Amino acid sequence: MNSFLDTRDAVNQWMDRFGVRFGIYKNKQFIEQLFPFDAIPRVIPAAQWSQLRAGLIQRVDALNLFLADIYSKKSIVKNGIIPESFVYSSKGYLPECEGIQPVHGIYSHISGIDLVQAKDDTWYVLEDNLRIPSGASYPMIARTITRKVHPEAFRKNKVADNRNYAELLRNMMTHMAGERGLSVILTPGRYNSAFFEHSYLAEKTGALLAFPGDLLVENDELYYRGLYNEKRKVGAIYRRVSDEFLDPLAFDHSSLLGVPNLMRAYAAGNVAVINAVGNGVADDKGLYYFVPKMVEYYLGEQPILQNAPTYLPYFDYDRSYVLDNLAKLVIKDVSEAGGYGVIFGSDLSKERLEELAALIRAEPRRWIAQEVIDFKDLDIMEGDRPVPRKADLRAFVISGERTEVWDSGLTRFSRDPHSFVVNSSQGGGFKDTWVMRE
Amino acid sequence: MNFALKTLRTQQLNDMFATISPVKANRLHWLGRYAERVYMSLHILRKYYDNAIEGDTEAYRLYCEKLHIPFSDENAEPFVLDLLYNRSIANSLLSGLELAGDNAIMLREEITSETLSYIQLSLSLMRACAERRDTNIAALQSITDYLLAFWGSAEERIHNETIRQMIVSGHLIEMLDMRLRFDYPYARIFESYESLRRVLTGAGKTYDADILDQLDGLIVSKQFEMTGEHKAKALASLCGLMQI
Repeated sequence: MNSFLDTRDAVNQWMDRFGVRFGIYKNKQFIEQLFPFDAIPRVIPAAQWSQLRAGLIQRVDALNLFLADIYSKKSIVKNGIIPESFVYSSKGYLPECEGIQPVHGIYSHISGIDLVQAKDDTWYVLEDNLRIPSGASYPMIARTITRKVHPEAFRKNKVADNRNYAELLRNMMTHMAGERGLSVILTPGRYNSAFFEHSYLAEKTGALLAFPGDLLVENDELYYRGLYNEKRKVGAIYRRVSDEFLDPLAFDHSSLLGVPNLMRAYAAGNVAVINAVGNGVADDKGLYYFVPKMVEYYLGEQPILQNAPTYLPYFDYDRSYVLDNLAKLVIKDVSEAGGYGVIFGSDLSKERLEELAALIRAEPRRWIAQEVIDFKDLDIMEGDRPVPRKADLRAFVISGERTEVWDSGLTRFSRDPHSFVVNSSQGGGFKDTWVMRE
Repeated sequence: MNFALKTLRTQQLNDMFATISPVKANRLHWLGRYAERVYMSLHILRKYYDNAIEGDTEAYRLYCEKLHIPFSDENAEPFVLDLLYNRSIANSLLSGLELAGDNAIMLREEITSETLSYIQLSLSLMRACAERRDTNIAALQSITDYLLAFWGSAEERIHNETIRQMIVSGHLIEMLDMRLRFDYPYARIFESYESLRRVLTGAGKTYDADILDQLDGLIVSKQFEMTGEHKAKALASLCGLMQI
């Protein structure tokens, strides 16, 4: 423990040196700050990781098949596995994507699956992030730094080397771009919270970092506009701009962050969009309930990974249970992200519980409820002493020529001892994640 | 598998001659300009700082005139603090460095994290000195060291010719500008102009050829008249030289 403590200042200095920052908006001001890093790594034994890896691949493959199905044949709906209205009332479902066959049939190329470990060591999936899952760059650079400042930790421990995320990403983008053209990462710009990640991944993969004005579509082909007005064809675009702002001619007309007619190029099969447009239907918190059923339906297998015990007020039987047990459940608004819209029933007064119950009765589709999992706490250093805090793990799964799991992840922790919310946008920090080789 | 060794190979996803956008070219150019401005300003300021040690604050008057900074001889320490750290003064060292940093952070992919880190290190040090209101210019020596390391790292790591041309053109334009302003010997002005000319004419059309001809006329032909009106014309020409 002392050896980790000794390196803490050195790690933070290196992070500062490389500008490893995260942006937040506070009182309408954009503030860049270092992403708080805790030197004590999370350790995942090899056997546990092996199971997680198999479960993550299975889950992401099923989700990709679901997306392909929903925007084409809709078999899972026709066979009564998932209610039709549930799918098509999801905010993430985009009718503009109906019938579009993305390059190589892949929808979620980069999936961020959020997991928590309970005190009995069971892992649960908390959330699937299939739109623009963020955060891999922080453990990437943290490992490079910790190996510099604390090499003996890696000499003594058989930790899987995780410095291959850029290679995984690069291989996937190469596969997706094919012979069509360049690979680019589209960033909204400096004042996006995750701009460090956009620029760092561009640097490490060798992809071009493109700002909205750098790209144009002509004759349904996407081009990068160069200094001498030359146009270079783009084969794959890893877009860090969300769906609604991606193409002002297809979606939000006021968007200045997107590329006009990008959807036309995408629909024509002339550019791979990473991740595909319309993935939000599959990472809808309500549809999360059905993911184990997707695994059974599409793969004919039993799910390896479990969801956290979840109830859908949309169903009468679940709604009854939820309303009777509101005070001991965690309620989530399916339309929120980043840790927002998460309500712990135990934190509410009697009056607020009644208000919440009324909201659930009025809009049952809007909510899910979950049992509160007794998180296995991880130690973080507060001053000179370790203290236990809640933490989750975002695992990254890359789907290209095959589906692969990055042997690492983003372990986020809450700095508030009473909070289960670990998101960086709400003040959380992160740790290195050690997946052991044996 | 040793991923560190694999990353030592060229990791280009696209080819080495991949283009850059006009906006990026502009940022690269201004990164070069601001980094050189801070380096030269600090280098020159040391001379005037030394002259002022015995209390002669008039030494700063000339420095301020040449950089269009308001001069006050009433109170030395606040004045020096302004020269170094006042963000509302466009030509203070901190202002210049922050502008360099604003451009650098947008160019990580072009210049690499290692190269960027030298600007970040300079900024961290400058801000720490500003925080403690340190007027001892010796405390800023490491900024000079970091900026030289920045250029060394850029030379070492940037292989794309267009990117190099953009950042070096900014560097050389600023160097020439500062040497003109502070009346460097003609030989030093000529050598920086020649370097700039070589960089500009060796690559794509990003400069105004007519203005370059004007500079030829002013600097090369008028070598014994590099003062007053000709100097002012040369400085004005430099402003309009780049077309990005």
